[in-house]
Amino acid sequence: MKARAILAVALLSAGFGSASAKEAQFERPTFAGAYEPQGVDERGLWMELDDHERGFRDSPLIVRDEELTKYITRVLCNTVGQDRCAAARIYVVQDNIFNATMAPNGLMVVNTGLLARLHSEAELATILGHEFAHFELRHSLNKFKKRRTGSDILMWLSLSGAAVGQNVGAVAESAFLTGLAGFNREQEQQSDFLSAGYIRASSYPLRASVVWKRLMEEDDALREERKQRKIRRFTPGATDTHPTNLQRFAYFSEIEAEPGAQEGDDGAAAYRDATSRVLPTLFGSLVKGNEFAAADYVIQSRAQALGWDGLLLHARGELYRLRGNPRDLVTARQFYEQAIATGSAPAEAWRGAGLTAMRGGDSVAGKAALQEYLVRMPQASDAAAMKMLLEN
Amino acid sequence: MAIYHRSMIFVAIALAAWSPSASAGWKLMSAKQAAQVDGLKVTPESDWNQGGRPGKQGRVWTQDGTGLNALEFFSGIPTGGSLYKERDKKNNPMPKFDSGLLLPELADFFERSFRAANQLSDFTIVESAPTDLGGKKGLLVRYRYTMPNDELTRLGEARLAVVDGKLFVANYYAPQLHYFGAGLPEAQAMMQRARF
Repeated sequence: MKARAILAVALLSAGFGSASAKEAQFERPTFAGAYEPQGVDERGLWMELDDHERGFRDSPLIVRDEELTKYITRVLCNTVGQDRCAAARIYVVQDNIFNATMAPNGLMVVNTGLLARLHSEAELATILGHEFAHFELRHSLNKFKKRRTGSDILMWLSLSGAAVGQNVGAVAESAFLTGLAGFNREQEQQSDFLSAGYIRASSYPLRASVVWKRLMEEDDALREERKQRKIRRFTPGATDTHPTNLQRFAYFSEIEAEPGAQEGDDGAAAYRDATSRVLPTLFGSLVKGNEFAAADYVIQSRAQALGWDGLLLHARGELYRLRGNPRDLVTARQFYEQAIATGSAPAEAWRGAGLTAMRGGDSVAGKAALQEYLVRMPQASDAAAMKMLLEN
Repeated sequence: MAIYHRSMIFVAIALAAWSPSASAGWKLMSAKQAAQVDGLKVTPESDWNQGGRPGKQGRVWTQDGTGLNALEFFSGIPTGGSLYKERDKKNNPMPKFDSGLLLPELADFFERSFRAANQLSDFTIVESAPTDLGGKKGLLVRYRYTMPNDELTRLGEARLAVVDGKLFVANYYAPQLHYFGAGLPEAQAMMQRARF
């Protein structure tokens, strides 16, 4: 195991360590299929996580859509190789934050907020590859060991400090936490580089920098709306656990500029088709959440990359209607009408069109749209309330 | 001895004066006694504890702790007011009520407020239908949600009504496992019999 980890790190440094070695062919680390955890620490970690997974797989937060899960698994397999992707069990979770995780035992969690913000299989591949790299490099185990060693040293330092009447605990603790954060950042960067290596060895082009660029732009949009200062940092803070988005954008851009890095089909059309079907699930909590400018940025950037469809226009209509300024209601009505015109709008688009029309004083058109909503969705959860509105 | 006695009495008085603040404002709401909760008059069947204010115009009641069962009453939220307290105006601004909202839109307003207050990603309206609150026409919202990093399904039932342009809400929620069903009949009875 250890040998595998060392090999992987060695490959990493060979692949990304020096300019001359950058052109060297990346080879995936060797992989054992039915791997059993080795040593007391790894066995303990796996046991805890197996136990966690038994409870987690019944969580109501999990999006139970077999087709979507299979699709993500397929992208992972294309990225890290058919032999090793079977080590991961993928769960899509309802969470509007941009995040994915992979535990040492192969439990992989992908947030709906991540899927909503990506535009192609190649982009998804960089994230899945990054998480898989954490798994393959045994990062959680190493972090656990590092933390334990650190806290042991901390204990000894505090004790020896007490013996000579000096309080060194606080200083040592902050040094320990800073060191741990730095260690974490190193691991994140290692995973980014190994992920880039996986993709270079796959059929996908490397499309990572654009993901981090969009995250920065989204954050800027939200900060501007909230009248907060924009933050663009090239150096991480002492307690940051990840490299900054700007750092990631910079080093991925460099790798993407290497010859051949951009070759291959990015799978944008396939990604659009696979995610359009479940768009309300992916965008629902973003739209109903509390970050208007961020959600609007995410919707517009998807439209720019993959085009508008009825579901995406409806989502934007909902976003504006729910914010509810008088001008928002006018804008929302336009989005609902555009959604309806595409022929691919959900029944709820007529609900939105009807409500915004009525709020705007056009009760005839409003009632007609609401009636259409009830025809299209007679079992709607608010059918009774709508009928009452129509009768008055 | 007399001095000792006097000091004991002083300590006892000090303790008596101090204990209400130590219990963080919890107050016993006795069974079958009508209680005035801001603008709503409600009569519980059994004993409840009245806690702090989840919103400027709100009060929360519970029997086993708000994580296990909670009943909230909000009275007279004006246009521009929020249902829940705005604890972080910059990073988590609360949705504002608008008296112009149509009846079915009260469910949307409630959903956004509840999501924002609890930082939820998972919230589903199971049903929203016309109902009565305090004898006024209102909207019943039955919902299901999950807290972040929590594997419990939780259920809730809220009643909302707009009276003279102001919003009144009674909202009961609890984990689906045992507590929601166990407390629902009393919560429903209280909401139905509430009067302005």
